Amino acid sequence: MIIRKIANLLDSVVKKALVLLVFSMLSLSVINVCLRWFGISYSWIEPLVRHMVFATAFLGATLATASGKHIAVEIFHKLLETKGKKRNLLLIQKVSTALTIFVLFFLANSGYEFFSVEQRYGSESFLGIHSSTLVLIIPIGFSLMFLRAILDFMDFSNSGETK
Amino acid sequence: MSFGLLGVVVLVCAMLGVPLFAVIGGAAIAAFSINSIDSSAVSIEIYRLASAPTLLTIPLFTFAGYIMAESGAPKRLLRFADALIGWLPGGIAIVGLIVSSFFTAFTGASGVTIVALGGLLYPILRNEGFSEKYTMGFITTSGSLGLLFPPSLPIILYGIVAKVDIDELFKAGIVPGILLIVVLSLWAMKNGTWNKERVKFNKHELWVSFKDTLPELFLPVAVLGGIYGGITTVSEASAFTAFYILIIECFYYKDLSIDKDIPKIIVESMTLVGAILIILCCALGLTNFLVDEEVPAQIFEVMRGVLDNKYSFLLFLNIFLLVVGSLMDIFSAIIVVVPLILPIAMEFDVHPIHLAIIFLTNLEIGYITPPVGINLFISSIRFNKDVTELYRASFPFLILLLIALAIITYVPTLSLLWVK
Repeated sequence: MIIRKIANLLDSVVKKALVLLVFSMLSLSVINVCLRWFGISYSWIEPLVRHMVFATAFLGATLATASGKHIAVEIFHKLLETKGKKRNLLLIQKVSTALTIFVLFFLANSGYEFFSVEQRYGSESFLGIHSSTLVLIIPIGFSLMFLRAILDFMDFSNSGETK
Repeated sequence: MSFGLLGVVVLVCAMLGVPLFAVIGGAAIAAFSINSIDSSAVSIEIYRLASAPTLLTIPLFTFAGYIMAESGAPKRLLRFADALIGWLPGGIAIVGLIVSSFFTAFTGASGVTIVALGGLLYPILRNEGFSEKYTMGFITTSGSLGLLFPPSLPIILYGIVAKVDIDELFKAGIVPGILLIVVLSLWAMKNGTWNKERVKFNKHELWVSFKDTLPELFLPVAVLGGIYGGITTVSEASAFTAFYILIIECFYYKDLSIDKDIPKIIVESMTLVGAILIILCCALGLTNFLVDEEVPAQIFEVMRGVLDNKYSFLLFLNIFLLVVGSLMDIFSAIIVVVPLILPIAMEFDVHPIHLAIIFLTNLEIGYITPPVGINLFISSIRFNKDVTELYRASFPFLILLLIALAIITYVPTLSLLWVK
């Protein structure tokens, strides 16, 4: 129960952040085009929007982890689902989630190492933001996915159903 | 661990249903570590995505597509198309093909089309006298029709991955896309009930339905006109498309509420976007490693021993891609397979734009290719039918699309007609 509560809280924060990001990137892009018609341009808008999309990718992927909507070869899952073999399906789902957690740990670590390198050798990007701050999207993003996958692994409330 | 063992582990994990981003990301980390390269190299490759100039088009076109799918647009477009050509024998099926294509072009993901339009089309087609088998085959097939039309997400993704001009790809897909619709329309006319009393052409209904859906019909014209008229870039067009659709569906038609429905649509559409982009992120690391290791060149050397000309290569490519399309989702297939196939196709003198169209057509057909084409499963679940029933229902459509694919493959002019 407590796991479900934590998972719901995390999902709710991620959803709110996504809504904010999408409205921001949409508004900034439209404003940027309109300003260009009047000969005004701000060089920071484009890279900022691209980094917003980059962050959106990780937040969206966190929700895909939560809802089981990651793209996968689901031959066995579909076959087991149509044959109604729920226990086997649950087992495969849990093994698959465990392997995902394992990989996410290394991906988050890879992101953190990249962040450390940027901290030492990086430079200022747009709006005075240091490149290491921008790169931080990667370890934070993978860590969020890692956390969400662990919660999903520990949650047995949707046992044996494809989501 | 050797590369051979790594390949086996990757295959087993993929078949177990481990998300593809984890399969690819894990393979990238392992491959770099086998070669004693620091694991941060994977993240350096991942970060390259943040500098892709057309990156914005993916979330915004997807967002726009999802808004349309959730609004009353499917009903309005069906009504207009019905008034326009519904009086033809098989006309309502042709209407369904056109509207499904329109939708898939905007949503990119075939599941959305089947779910959004399938439920509307099923009773209409059955009521018009089409057989159950034809109707199910039709809905399953039309779920991926339209992937060749702009601003389809797979085209954009292909452009980003293969570094091919997206504007040119948009133009290249139009004629082959129309060919697929024409082939299926002829089949619809053949299956249409000729003896049934037909609905008469009604000018008034056409005008009323046209006025009703005009703001939505205006969209593809504006997008293409904007891009090819040199007024906007593809990224700017995606921003305007999303903004325009948001405004008309929320404030003109008032089908959706900006504070209740739109956040839900954002969450749903960005979940798909996240699922696609995270694979792209992880694949950047792996494919770069494979290219550095000259894997495509090695595959080409092996293939040159078996395939001695462009046409035998194209035949092999079609068979290979149909298998890939029936096993993998279109987005992951583009991300994983394109970087490997592209240099080989260049060696066989296949034009990169023509290759893109062949690639996308194959994957479009792969959606309905047994045993595991994803549309077959989506329809099976959506309409509560046995999947083997859908194999039989989709079979005639599959054959027709394969004929069209052969034409697209061996007549490059169709794809290169408007390409510089």
